Amino acid sequence: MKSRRLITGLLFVSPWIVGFLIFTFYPIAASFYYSLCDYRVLSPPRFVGLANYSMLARDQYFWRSLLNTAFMFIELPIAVALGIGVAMLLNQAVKGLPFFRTVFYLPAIVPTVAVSMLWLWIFNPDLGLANAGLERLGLPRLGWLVDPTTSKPAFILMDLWGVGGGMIIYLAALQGVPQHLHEAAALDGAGPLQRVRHVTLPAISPVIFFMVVTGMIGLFQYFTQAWIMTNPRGGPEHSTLFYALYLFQNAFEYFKMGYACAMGWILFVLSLIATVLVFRTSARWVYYEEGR
Amino acid sequence: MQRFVGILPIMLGIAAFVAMAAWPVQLGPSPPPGRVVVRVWSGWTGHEKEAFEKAVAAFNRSQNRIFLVNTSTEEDDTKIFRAITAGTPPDLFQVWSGEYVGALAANNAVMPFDPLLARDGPPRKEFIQGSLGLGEYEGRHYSMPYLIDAYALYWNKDVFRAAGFDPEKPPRTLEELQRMALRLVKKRPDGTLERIGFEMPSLEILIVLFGGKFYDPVAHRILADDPRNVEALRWLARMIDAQGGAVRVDSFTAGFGEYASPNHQFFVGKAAMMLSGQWWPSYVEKFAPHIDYGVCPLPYPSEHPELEGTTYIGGNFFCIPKESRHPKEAWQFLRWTQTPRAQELFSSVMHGVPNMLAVLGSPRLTTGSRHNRAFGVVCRIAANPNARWFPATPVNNLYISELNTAVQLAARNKKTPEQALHDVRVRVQQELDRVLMVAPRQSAHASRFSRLEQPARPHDRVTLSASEGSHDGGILRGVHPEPKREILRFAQNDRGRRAQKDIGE
Amino acid sequence: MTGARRITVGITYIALCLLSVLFAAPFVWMIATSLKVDRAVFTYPPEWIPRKPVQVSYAGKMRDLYTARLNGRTVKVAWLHETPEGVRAAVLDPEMRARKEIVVPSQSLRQEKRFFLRWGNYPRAIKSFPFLVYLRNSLIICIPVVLGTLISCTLAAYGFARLTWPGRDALFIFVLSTLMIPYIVTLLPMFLMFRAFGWIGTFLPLIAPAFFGNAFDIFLLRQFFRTLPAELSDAARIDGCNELSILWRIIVPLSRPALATVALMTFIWAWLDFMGPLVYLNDESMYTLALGLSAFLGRHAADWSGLMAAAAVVVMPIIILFFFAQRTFIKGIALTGMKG
Repeated sequence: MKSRRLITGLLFVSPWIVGFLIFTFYPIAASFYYSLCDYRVLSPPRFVGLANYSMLARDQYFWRSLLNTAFMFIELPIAVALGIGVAMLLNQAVKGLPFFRTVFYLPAIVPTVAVSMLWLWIFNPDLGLANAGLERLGLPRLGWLVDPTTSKPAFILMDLWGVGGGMIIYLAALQGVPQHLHEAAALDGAGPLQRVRHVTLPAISPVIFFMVVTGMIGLFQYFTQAWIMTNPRGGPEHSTLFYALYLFQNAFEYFKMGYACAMGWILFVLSLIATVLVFRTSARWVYYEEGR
Repeated sequence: MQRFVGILPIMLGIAAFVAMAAWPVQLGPSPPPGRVVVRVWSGWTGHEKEAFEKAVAAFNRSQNRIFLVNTSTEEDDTKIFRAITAGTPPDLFQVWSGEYVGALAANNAVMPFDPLLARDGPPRKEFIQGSLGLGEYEGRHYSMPYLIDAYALYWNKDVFRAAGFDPEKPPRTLEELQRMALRLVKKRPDGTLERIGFEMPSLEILIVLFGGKFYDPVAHRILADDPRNVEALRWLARMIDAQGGAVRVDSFTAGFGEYASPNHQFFVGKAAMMLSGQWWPSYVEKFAPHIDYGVCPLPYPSEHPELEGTTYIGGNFFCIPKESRHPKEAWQFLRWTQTPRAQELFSSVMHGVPNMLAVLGSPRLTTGSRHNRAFGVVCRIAANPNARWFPATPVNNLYISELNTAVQLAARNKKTPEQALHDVRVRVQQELDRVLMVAPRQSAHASRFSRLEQPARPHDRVTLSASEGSHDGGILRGVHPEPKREILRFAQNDRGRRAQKDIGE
Repeated sequence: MTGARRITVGITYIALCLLSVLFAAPFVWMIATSLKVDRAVFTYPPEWIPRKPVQVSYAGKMRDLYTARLNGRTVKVAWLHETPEGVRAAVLDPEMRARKEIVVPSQSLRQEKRFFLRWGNYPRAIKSFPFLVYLRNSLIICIPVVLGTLISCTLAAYGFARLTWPGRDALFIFVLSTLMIPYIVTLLPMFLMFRAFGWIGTFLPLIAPAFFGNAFDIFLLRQFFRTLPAELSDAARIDGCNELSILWRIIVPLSRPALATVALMTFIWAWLDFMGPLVYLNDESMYTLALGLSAFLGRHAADWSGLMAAAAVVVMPIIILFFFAQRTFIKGIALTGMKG
């Protein structure tokens, strides 16, 4: 009986397994091998054991980039809260809902290049909207991307604007909350806030879990915006030298592919540990309707 | 019947899709029969790509053995490296960022040109000095530019007039420049900059102006902390400080959006003087034809008058990969580009300085319009024997990145110039040693390419004849350094998508 | 409506409108910029309405028109050039003829601009690359990718969500872990691998992997499937249904929002993907719209308004798709879950 369930389960997952063996296994294994090599891209790799890893431990930019990336984790709880809040707002029966939803989703589909240019302009210390707004409120102007203390918060602000992308996932989740639960709670005398806390949030907790885990994995690999928007690369005093950015530089600018692969695998281990931790704690706050 | 109607739209959709997918499409001309097809990859896009393809078409018309086909790499050099690693590079390619030439050479990924040049190239003395020097590594030449870049000093005559300076008298020495710049700086009451006197160039250019050094190719030593370099960095840091301090200057520079747009600070009277390449007059005509400006040779430090006329040379870099299927034909094209007609053709649309001394004075390029006259000034500057460039080393990307860091630290007073440059030297030297320790293996690739000659190993001491370019190190840069940086940024957009996938980031 | 309900609706509306302004602003700016003339693109204070400077002819050249206050009156002047004392300008009479030249401080001048939509940016943007060819290529890639992703990820997610079997959760973490390797690091080996297959220069590396699932969408769908009660499946199993028909008849119809979300997100990602085509395609007749867009901005003379026009064109299909598809995947508020 058990083996029959095993076979059925594997059968459903088989497309992924096959795909993994064909498309993913070799590149991942190769990258691990490269991490143990001195690989200059244009010449064949040469095995050097753990030399890359020990060099990384002594590399100040490595630690700097790790810290920079860790800082960005502040964004995660804010983004999740904002995403849920916005989705709940859009789940109401108000007129013009399709219009509002489209508007909220726009940031997710404007091409990255246009978005980055826009934010470069918004954060411009002399001409930009951000400082203009601060001035209006009587606050001092900030350096934003040019100032090491405000450069990372600037990126966080920019990401939060893109929260609409996650919104449709939350929206789809909210749609799935059974109406009868809301009705039952209302009958029991629960006010709207209590309903949110005890009915809505637990009902969509599996999706929240998803967003937290993927958000975390994404933050570990945060790279594109910093690449486009900082010049010199890495920002003022390397305040925005994120881990994946430094990885990219090593791989394709300095031709230290082995070194970059070692960085990649360290990142992998860190992500894995973080994910497993979140999984472990999930039993306490994630509620699956089917009770498993 | 019901089911049939339901299925119909799906079937139509599939049919339409298949038809669309099977539609044969071809862009660009098809090669006439009987010709050898040579593939070239270049980084140019947009107008510049059109300009290059005009040159390609002219080459195809000029002979009937070879048909050259261009593909744009969209300024992404990694595309070329992947192709080289996979063993399927094109027959000829242009490296967008010159910093990669040293690494390509050190790994024997590209062929040296020397025997070809010796056999049927123009004699070296017909070239501008820097043009061949840019691609030189370990005594051999690995890249050829079609055109080169040369830098000059530009000043806004309107701003000079408004500040009470004689608009026809630009600064000749760096000291004069400093004095004038500080008087041309305008600040707002809250201390932010309204106008900058001198737009700060990158450190490499200044090092050249101060007569500094980058690299000793014989001893394989990085010379980042050469005393003249320290002087250059000190001057740079002082200028930044005097004009408002690092944060204010950076904010100001960040302020004008696009480099290549009507809003550049030089065009709106917010920058009095700046260094730029020979493309600048064309930008003026395109974005701000109403301004009155001048162009002159770069200033020199007054304690070193022998450096007068120094300029900074960059270029675009064509290389022939080891695995090229048609290296001889690829060389034919490069040879063709170094003829007066081909040079004039490309230079008139690309606004690059011709490689060949004979073409530098060409009336078609340097007389007539205001642009041409300004361009002519820069061409004359480029011919000066004091021209210098950044030499090719396998670690140029790191080197330049570290120099930028040094500027940041020195300008913000986190380190002294000596300390900053010393750290640069240590770090880059360490990396260089590691790279050179691993001598390029005579891999399977190499044996296929003894058509020309055996590749040089980096530790071979090569004796240089007197006619070789200067070896105190010059400067090497890809096309248009400042816009390149901006554009490189954009070229990398969406790379994160595959991994990040809209996870609300 | 009750009073309390009215207040809730009112607050909701206000919040929605404020947030809309915030979220829509960059997009509006993008469209506005796409209709601007070059000189108007980066201005301070930022302009939301496309306008172009009015110009007059004076002494053989076109000059920008400004208004200035002179002796208590407002006059029109043409900007000539800057001097140490201020701006030299030519005062114009109502017929726009020059009366005399004066020097005034620049702060006292206000530039005359008029509303102007430069629609020409759009055809210019479209003509700058082979639009129809790139559109075709984008569709050839995106449609199969969406289909393949939906099919393969639904199957796998079902296996992880609705079935129990030994090793399931461990395998799931393994699946997730493939998300954790930065793609930069696998880029080169993946390229070499596709080269060994002989797929470089074809659409295959961009389409084929989609039919084998990806961790992100599998994870997403798994979470959705787990929100549906177990009793549904149990009841069906007792009735003798096999797993495939449970999936097709019960789970899928109830998961329309989730599936539509996956379809939409996958389409958008594939439509805007620039990296993949750049890496694997060498023939320009196979390039996609996203790649064409990046080529557009790769010019030194960055054509801002044209770039925004091109970006708007590339993005339009997605907006249209999203707007009309909303009804499909976001059902009305009343019909959620199941009754009882």
